[in-house]
Amino acid sequence: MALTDTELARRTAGGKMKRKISEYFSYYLLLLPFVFFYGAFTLYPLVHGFIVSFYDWKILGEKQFIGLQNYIKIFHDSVFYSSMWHTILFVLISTPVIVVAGFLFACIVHQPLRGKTVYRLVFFVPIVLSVSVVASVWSAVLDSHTGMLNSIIKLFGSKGEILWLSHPTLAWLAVIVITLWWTVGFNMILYLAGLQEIPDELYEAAKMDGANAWKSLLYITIPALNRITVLITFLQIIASFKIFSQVYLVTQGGPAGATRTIIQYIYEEAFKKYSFGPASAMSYIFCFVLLIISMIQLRISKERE
Amino acid sequence: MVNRLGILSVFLSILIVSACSSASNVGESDVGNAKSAEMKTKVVFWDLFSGGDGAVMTEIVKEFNETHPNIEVEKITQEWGEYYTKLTTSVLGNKAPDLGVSHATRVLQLSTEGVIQPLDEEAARNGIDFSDFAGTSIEVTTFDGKHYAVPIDYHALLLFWNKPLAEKYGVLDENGKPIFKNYDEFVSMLLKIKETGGDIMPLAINGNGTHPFRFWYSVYKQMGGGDIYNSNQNKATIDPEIGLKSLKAVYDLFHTHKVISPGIKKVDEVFQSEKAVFMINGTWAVNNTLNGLKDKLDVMEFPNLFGTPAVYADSHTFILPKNPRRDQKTADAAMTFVKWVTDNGWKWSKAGHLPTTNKVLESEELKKQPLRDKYKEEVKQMVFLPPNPKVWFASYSQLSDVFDALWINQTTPEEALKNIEQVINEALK
Amino acid sequence: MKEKKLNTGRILLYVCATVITAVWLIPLLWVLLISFKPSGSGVISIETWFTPPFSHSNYIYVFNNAPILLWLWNSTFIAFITTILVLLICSMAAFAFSNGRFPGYSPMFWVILAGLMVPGEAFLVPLYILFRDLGMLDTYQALVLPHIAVPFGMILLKQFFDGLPKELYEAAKIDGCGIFRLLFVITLPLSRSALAALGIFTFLGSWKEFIWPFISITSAEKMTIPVGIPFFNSEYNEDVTIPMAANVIVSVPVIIVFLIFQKQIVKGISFSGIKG
Repeated sequence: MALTDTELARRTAGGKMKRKISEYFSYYLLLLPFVFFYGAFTLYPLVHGFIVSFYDWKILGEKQFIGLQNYIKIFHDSVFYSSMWHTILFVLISTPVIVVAGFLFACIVHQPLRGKTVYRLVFFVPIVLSVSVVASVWSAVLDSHTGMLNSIIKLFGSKGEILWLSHPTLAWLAVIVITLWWTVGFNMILYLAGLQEIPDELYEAAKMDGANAWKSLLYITIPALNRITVLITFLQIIASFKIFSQVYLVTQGGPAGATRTIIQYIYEEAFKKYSFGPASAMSYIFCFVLLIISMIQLRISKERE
Repeated sequence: MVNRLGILSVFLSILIVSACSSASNVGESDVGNAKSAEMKTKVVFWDLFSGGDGAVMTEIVKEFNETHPNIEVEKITQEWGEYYTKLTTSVLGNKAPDLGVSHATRVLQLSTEGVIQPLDEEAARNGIDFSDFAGTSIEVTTFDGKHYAVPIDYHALLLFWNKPLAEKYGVLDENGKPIFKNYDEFVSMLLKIKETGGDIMPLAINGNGTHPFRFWYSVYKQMGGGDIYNSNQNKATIDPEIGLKSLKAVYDLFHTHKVISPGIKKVDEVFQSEKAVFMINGTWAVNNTLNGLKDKLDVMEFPNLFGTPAVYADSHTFILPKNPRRDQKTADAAMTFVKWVTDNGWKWSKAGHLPTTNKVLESEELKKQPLRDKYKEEVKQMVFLPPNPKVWFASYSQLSDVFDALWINQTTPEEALKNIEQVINEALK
Repeated sequence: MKEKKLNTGRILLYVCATVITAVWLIPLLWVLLISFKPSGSGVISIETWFTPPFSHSNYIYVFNNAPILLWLWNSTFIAFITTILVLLICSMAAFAFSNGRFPGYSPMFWVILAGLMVPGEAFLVPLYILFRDLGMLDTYQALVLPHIAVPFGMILLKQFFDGLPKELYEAAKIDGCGIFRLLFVITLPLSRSALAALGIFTFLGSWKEFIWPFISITSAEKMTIPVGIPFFNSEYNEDVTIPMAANVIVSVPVIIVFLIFQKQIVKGISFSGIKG
């Protein structure tokens, strides 16, 4: 039987080489779009932003190289520190709240209750809403004088208006509640998937050994969900660090800058004051902080495995 | 082989589609300009009237387009707080509109930043005479002998009140005007309402942002305070004694006499729901409030509480953004629109604002508008923020932060004064 | 089905679930209710919520004063294009990394992996300058292009492809199957669940993006929903009820779609989360 061309190519050494190169070429071609867009719109801005941070970059006109001056200016800027602090505070407080709430909601929805699909739906629906809608809804609900919440509270006799959004501490509470309402569904779904993987037999066995619901929870459920908890916590931490839109749209960083987060400060510096240099520098510092956190997280998860 | 070609073509087509769409984005306007030679001249007009006055401008644009069949003005309203950011970035990105709006006090900054251009030539070609507009607005928008703006209106703070409610608490005299001649009498009038009014607020004002700042600035000027900053020396120049007294005077209304409820964000809603007797708001709110309260509404100029009448004011003006793609035909069309709007300034004053030409101020049409004559005289007591080439303090977030902290009682007037100076000095460095 | 005893535990559970559901729903229901109260009619006291006047004047106002349907279209269109491009480009790259061995593999892979830790929000300034220099600010491309080479997407798919049986490929190769056919004819059809998951994830992410569109889009016709809605809530726009009508208009289609596709959406999210 005569050999086909491909067979021939496959059997000769020269053919093998040609094939390898042609294979490489195919793979490179497959990679090309991704690499191109990644290079153009992720790597290039990354590098360029770093360069910008060393310049006095005016909106229109010449840019001047000024070395580390932007960074020095930032390190003396009290608003930079307060914004970073606000962000860190938010991460520290909201992360446990939203992770634990996700777990609790998943537990509730996991039970064979009548109407559990309705519950699951309701807890999850806010996630599909746009942040602007969420902010608009909650600004209206929490408005001190015209909002739903205070109108209801007045029913119960209170005279004064509670300044949900005009008092520094209450404003933070509001931001956390809004974020919880908006995003807990995501954690709930992940936990739910994890809960569904725990075999019933484990619980049956525990019951027969005399364990009550509380003990089952503590010794079976929670340990089984360890990996998911770690994952959810890490995702939550990173997401919370990047918080901007719901705060900006509801409190505008107020009252008196009490809820201004670092991303908002970068935004204001870059697009309200047109100081691209310092804004870039702050972006890099922020990125650096996030990198450290990610590395710590990676190390922790590696150790667990 | 065929499949590799397939991949390549997919990739290339993505690139081509992207390039084409971006080309067409630019091409659109070129085609537009070419077409305009035969059909309508299109003028892209950006404004910042996202409040109650917006609807009036929409009407004006519509009427202009109907009465000028060879011009089409396309109005795009940007949100008030984001307008200047969007304007500047659009000039940066070479996508500037043909015509824009600016507060008179910001024109110096815009021209320093290179966002706008002088418009003497274009105005002259289209019959606009700057001597018609004599006044503060022209003064602060003319530099090096060149005009950078055409004034549309003057707007300032007013005192609004709910007539039936005010009568109920006995605070109006036989002419229907509130009974007070100075700050102390003003306070006792409000206290009277507070004592007998239950949960009706004596005075309502938006608790943060620009409103209380403007209130304070008016009081500071009424007490005789000078410029709060000097643009040439780049530093704050608040009179320490008057600065403190004025801050205290407003602070006391919030927290000592407690005649203003802090934290209001929607003062229109509160006032229209008749939960407050008096409201301090601006000329821009007259239209809306009139629709809501109808004949229950009365207004007067901002109260003179300390001797010298003064009220924070500013002026909206038309400006020409730097736009290399705008040809002479479009610029002329834009200026035709400008002339028509200012000639018929009474139309715009339906929104509540005061017109900028004497002609319109004295016109019959203006007189026919409800309530306008009640505050016509306000024009004489207006005080503007000094224009600054670097910073527009009328809406400077770090400055608002300091004031906001005072109104929610998180700081003292003394501390606030120190912080205000610090912020201004930092910003002007 | 387990037997459902009604003991204190279960009653407590029902109470909890019902209360939380009510709290979760009430803001949305209130918004829907007052969106029908004409502007200026006052919504401060509770009685006003349930007494006339009611009308649809707010909705008419919104439709007349803002291109809200256009915003809906823009959001949908952008999310759709982004998703298609992400699926295409990431699966191609994922396949190359999963099945290929070629010079430069390691460095390329690590550079892309590093991108996982880069927060997009921190690169607004250079991204903005880049698009300005390209003259592509205020375009659809500006909204789509930065989001199609997503390390997360590539790695998710790669991990999935890694899990496919190698024998499949061996058999196909012997039949003379080229690499591209391997990807498009064999691998992708098998990867439906992963593609669906990534697709849903990407679609949602694009739909909800706020800060970059907020910065880069200036003309009203190109705005997406998150950028347009705040227009109704500015400091000088003091209506309470008109913004609520806008909120309802843009949220109802989304909620309906969600209700129809909830199973797939939920599955998609748990899949991405677990594998990620």
